Amino acid sequence: MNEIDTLIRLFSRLPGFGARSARRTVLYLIKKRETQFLPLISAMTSVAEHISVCPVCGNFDSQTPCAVCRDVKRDPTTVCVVQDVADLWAIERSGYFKGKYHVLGGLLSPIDGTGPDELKLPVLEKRIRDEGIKELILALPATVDGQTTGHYITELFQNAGIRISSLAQGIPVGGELDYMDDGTIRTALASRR
Amino acid sequence: MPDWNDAGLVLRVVKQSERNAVVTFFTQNNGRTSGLCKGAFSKTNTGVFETGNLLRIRKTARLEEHLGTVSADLVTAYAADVLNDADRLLLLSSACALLTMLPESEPDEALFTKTVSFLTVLPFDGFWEAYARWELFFLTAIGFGPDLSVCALTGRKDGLAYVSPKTGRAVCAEAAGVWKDRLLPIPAFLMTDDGLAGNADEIKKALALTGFFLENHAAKTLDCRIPFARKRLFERIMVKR
Repeated sequence: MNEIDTLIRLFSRLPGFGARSARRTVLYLIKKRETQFLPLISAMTSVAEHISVCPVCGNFDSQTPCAVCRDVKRDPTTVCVVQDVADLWAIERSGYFKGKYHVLGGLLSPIDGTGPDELKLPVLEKRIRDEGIKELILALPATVDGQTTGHYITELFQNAGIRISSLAQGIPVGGELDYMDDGTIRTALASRR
Repeated sequence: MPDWNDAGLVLRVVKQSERNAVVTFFTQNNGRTSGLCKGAFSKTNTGVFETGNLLRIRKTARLEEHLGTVSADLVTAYAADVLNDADRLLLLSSACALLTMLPESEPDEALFTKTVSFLTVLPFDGFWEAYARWELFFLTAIGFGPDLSVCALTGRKDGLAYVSPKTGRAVCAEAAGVWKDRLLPIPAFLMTDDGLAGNADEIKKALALTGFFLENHAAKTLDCRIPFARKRLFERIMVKR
């Protein structure tokens, strides 16, 4: 197996890639060696060498604490709890939330037996104690595991003297009822205002 | 070559790749079965493969022993009804987790019907009682249920108040005598089809009774562990109610 085959094999293991798209990508990079391939190598090397997990919130950044935790303009009293860094990035893309984050690193799963010990809850508990947090916003998936985790966190901190809220569930912006799945419509009706 | 259509409840979803999942179902006519669902995490299937949802499924496989592929359409989104309620969500998870203890490909239509009935009443009042009765039915279905039909000592059919943890047979209050402290109490509502518990203690007693037979008879004989969801449920009710 030569170097190109190895590269194709490595690409094909990435999310969103298959054997065919990996081949196309590698071929494209080889053809655009100066403008795409070498800058990509440089960027990937830099990220691989410098990136680390923020010990405060669990975000990825090249500095510790991460840029979000260091930002003094952000409201330190409001913390958005998310399952994964991808969710943190999604909320950041919206540009609406100006508080801080806490990445759990997973969800409780009563079916699969994933318990609270496997989540970063002790760190969150310490942050609530030490950082003067006044509100937790639970931005967790609207799934059985996501909501089980949400209920668990709500009960865990119910006597901590903080406000705990969750993201709303229902019809998305621009969504037409005719195209909504039954579960979304039922939830939207149940949480109508 | 298996190729069938059936109604099935989602029990467990294990992500297989970015979009696919191996899903375990409890089906009406084919018992517990698993299959690869292509596109289970695609946008079109949002909210479909959630634990407790009732689906119309089609399973195809080349050979009986193959995992096979499953395609599905949502029939009733039972999970969506209880997402906002911690107790109900845990009961749904516990019931589905217990159903994973069933042997593979052994249909039990009565248990399927009872489970669908339980999920239907779950959003309404009396859901704790409905769950306790479902769990008792489940135990009986898998062959480890206590015999609550007649008193083991007097032969009476009424006034049954205790169960022997050893034999699983019921005893009426008068016959229990000095041994009653060694027996498991039967809450009155458990002997009815739709009666409500008088207080929270009765629910605890009911879950302690079914929990005992699950742990000491079913799990030990089947060589498996009590599902985490069931354990959490019991811990929660002992602390909360």
